[in-house]
Amino acid sequence: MSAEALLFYVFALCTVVSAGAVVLARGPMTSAMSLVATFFFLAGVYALLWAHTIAVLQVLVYAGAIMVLFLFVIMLLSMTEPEPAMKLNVARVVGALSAVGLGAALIASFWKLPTQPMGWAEDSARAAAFGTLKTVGEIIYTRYLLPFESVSLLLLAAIVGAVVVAKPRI
Amino acid sequence: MTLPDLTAADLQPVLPALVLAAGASVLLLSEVFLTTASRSHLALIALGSSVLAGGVALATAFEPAHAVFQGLAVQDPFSSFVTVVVCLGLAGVVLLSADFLKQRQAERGEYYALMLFAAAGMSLLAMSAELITLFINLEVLSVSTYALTAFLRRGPRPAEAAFKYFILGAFSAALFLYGSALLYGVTGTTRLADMVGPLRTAMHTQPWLATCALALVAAGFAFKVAAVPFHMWAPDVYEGAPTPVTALMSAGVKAAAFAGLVRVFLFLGRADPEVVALALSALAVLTMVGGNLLALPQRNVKRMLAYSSIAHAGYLLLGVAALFPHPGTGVLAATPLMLGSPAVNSADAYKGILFYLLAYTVSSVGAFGVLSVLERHADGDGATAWDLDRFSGLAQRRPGWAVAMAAFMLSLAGIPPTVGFMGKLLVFRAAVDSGLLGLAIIGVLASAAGAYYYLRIVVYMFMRPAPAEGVLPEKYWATELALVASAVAVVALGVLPGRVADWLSQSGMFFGTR
Amino acid sequence: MQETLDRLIREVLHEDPQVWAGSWVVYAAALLAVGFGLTVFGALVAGLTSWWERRIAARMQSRIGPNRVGPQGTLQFLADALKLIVKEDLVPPESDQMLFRIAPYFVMTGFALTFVVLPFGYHLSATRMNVGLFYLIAVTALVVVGIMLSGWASNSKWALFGGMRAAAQVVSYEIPGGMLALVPILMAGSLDLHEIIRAQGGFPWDWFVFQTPWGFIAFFLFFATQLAEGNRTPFDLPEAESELVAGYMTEYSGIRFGYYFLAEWGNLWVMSAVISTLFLGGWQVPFVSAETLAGWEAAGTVPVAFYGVSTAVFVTKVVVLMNVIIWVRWTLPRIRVDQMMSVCWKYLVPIGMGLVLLAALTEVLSFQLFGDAAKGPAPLGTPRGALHLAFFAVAGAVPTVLFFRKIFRNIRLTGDRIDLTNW
Repeated sequence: MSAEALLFYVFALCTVVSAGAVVLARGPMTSAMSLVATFFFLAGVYALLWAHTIAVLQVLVYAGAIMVLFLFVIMLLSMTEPEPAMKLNVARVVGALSAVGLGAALIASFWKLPTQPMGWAEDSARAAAFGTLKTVGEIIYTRYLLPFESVSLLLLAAIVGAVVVAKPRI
Repeated sequence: MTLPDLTAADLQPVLPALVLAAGASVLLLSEVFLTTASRSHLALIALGSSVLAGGVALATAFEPAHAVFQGLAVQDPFSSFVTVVVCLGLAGVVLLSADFLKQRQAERGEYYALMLFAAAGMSLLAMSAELITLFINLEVLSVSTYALTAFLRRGPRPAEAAFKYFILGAFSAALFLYGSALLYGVTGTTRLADMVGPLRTAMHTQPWLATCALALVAAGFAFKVAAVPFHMWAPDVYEGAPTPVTALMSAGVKAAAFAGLVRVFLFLGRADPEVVALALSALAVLTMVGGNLLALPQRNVKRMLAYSSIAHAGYLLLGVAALFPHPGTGVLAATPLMLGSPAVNSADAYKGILFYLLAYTVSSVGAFGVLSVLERHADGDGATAWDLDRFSGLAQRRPGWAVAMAAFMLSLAGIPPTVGFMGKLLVFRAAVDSGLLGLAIIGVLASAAGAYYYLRIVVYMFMRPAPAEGVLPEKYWATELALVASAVAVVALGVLPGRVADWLSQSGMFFGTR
Repeated sequence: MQETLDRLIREVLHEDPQVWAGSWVVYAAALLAVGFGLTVFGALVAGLTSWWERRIAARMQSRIGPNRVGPQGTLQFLADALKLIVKEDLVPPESDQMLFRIAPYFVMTGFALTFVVLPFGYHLSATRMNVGLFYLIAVTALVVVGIMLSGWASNSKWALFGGMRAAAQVVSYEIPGGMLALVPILMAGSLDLHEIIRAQGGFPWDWFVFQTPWGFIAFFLFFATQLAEGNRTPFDLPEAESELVAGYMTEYSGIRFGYYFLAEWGNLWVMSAVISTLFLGGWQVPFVSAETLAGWEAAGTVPVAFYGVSTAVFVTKVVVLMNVIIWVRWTLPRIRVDQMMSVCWKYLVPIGMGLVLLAALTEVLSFQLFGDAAKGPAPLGTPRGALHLAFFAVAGAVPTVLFFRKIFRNIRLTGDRIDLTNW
């Protein structure tokens, strides 16, 4: 096993474990911190894929800015009252069953993966500059210009929407 | 690696979206710099942008289909027509909003700006031909509508509605994104046109993975169009949102989401038409039957219209299913058709779907318009604000409104001579032609059941006495303009669908088909 | 770093590490050694800065300051550290035990990781990254996560207020900070810290701060945002002794308390190094032009002295900036929370956006005018160099003249006199 493969398994396992902790942890703060850990390990996986820019952006945007906002919100809401006890009703049973079904279907679909790498369309295009900021920037501003500009529309709409929703009364 | 150049030809198809976004920016800036007491200019700016955008889309609607932005988007008559429908719906909704907001002292530029953003997202969604672009534009329209739902927070209902919409919308977005990621993993591309070949191979080598991916993407769209069993959010959200926003949801959002659905599954469906057709047929049956049955007991008109919107999604899904060669076995099929060739009777089916979208847009905008002026707008009166009794004796109090509402109800029920009837006729005919006779029969039966609750409103308006202390609504110029326009469109298109129907059946309607 | 190590082994031991069986052990050991060395460097810098700041503060308040341990008190920080280590490490019983314990390590990690990309001199940094500056901003974010955690986990209102203030402040100021950093990035065309430095020159008019008006404005505003991100006065609201006891670290004691102070003083170095890299020409030595350096590199004959001189230049710039920061701290009062927020969102963000636009426009214009010569330091003979010199003259002279006029006017009006006797 090469060092990269070893690192990948370490990062992957840690990502899954900390992601599980996000869901299962009882305290909101512990959940949030597990989420930070998840983002970091995920960034490690990106770095292993030579996507350095994405890895750094992942840490910068998620672990940095977004998590700080999460923590801020958790601090503002004092969540001290205990959770209501889970009651069994039809909706919960149906929900649990469909979740289990979806999980089973996904596991089944991943069970038998091809041993050969699939015919990835852009594999040959991978060059020395792959994953550098320059390459990513060039692609974003030329080939993926339309979604990039749509994102700016999305962010503007989201900001305006957030301001509207945050107003005490209209 | 060669980097493509951007040309002016790439920009021309997104012009309607640019106009809408520019209008939104003007509105936002006017809120900062133009602080006059009268706020009617806001609605005018929004109206002007939507009409202009619709005009631009109409002007380019007859160009042959071609890909732009390196295949991330396509321009074809289909996308142009959806943009036109969206802009029509938006113009109607803006007119309704003008009076609605004025009554509640809530005229804000942000409201119209968010509507224009949503419409820009819808227009771009209709032309997206790549999963990333598609997802982002879907989010543009979703985020805008989430915020609009929470725009007027009077009482607990709107907050609940917005929260529900947001959480479930985010959930459906996650499903769609998961499906897209799996699709990328299976095929190695995000461009729909390039995906067909690898996906067809993967259907044999990786059947589970490919099917899971398709199912997740379909579930994401099913949430957006509120198809049974993914419809749970619709009634609460429709009820809690401000009525003009509800109109936008049922007209614009639905049209755009259907455009995206058709776009995605026309490409991906070619990988395995049988499975996709079967899945869409099952969704269509559930939605048609479920929507109509759930609407039957509703006394709350807004809720009833929400369920009716679910039912109409079912008829539209029937039209989408008619785009595919059907499985050829079982009770749902009557005539065998050849398999393997994509979209056998595509021209008729497109005509059906698009005409239906137009029909539903004008009818539902009108219906919600009448509802918006009739609803009681005192704080905290809960569900009775839209009770059937508010329609009692409307014919004596406001005969014009009653006649218009009757036209909208007849149209939604699919009774001639209205546009709704023509839409249903086209969709059902396309379904029968592509062999889905059984489905078409179920659809007709379901809409017959639906006629009951639509006509009940007509009965209340014309045959019940007006309540003694009923508050007579004031004059609403903008709303009445929208009502007149919708009513005229409902009847005119119902009697003479010729020009529009001809346009819709032109060749090269959809990028990638003959 | 692997290549450097390989070259070192080849040149010193005359062996090829690639053929060694356990070469990864060597690499791992080297990694650890570099990591250890950098952390120790950070700690030493932080300690010395703590002594230096206390001495300056004392000077400004007409006191003496710590002068007992070691010559002039330079070893005071060792005594302090020893004291903190042997003190009891209290964990309040009401706190969130685990988070309370790990929070200081977040702060320390975020601080120590910045040294991975920080330059120290020509070719001197642990590693070069094409996303260097992004990396720096990213890992610095860990510090604020740690601060918030400590604020929350302490279960004390002072600490909670401190943590919340820190979060609001740092997240807000990251936005104008990022935008203003974009101005030199646009001028350099790279995020690699060494590339940014190499796009500047040794003389002040080759520095980004004096190349264009946008760089000049951005420098001062960036300096302010860095102060805010490092929680330094006048933006030290998260600690605010007079209001919040000690802010987020109220409940801490012993060495955990020490970690916060270590990171805070160490951050002075980080801030100053970043500012000097982005705006003040970094390690560029005057009279060594880009062509000379390129010539040395091509011939493989970079003089060893150049490494030393460039490091000395860089360290000098950093130390001067650190002194300015300390000077600001003991001169200006703390601003209010609402002022802090409105300065950021109402002034810095719009100005930052405008500067980025103008800088981008200038770059485009510069490419139109000068073609390929539009990037990098410009010799004085070229039109671009002359332009830079002219701007430097204006930007340097006008504020200086205004400053002295103001000073002398003040002195004249108050009848005061300049007293330099205590220096």
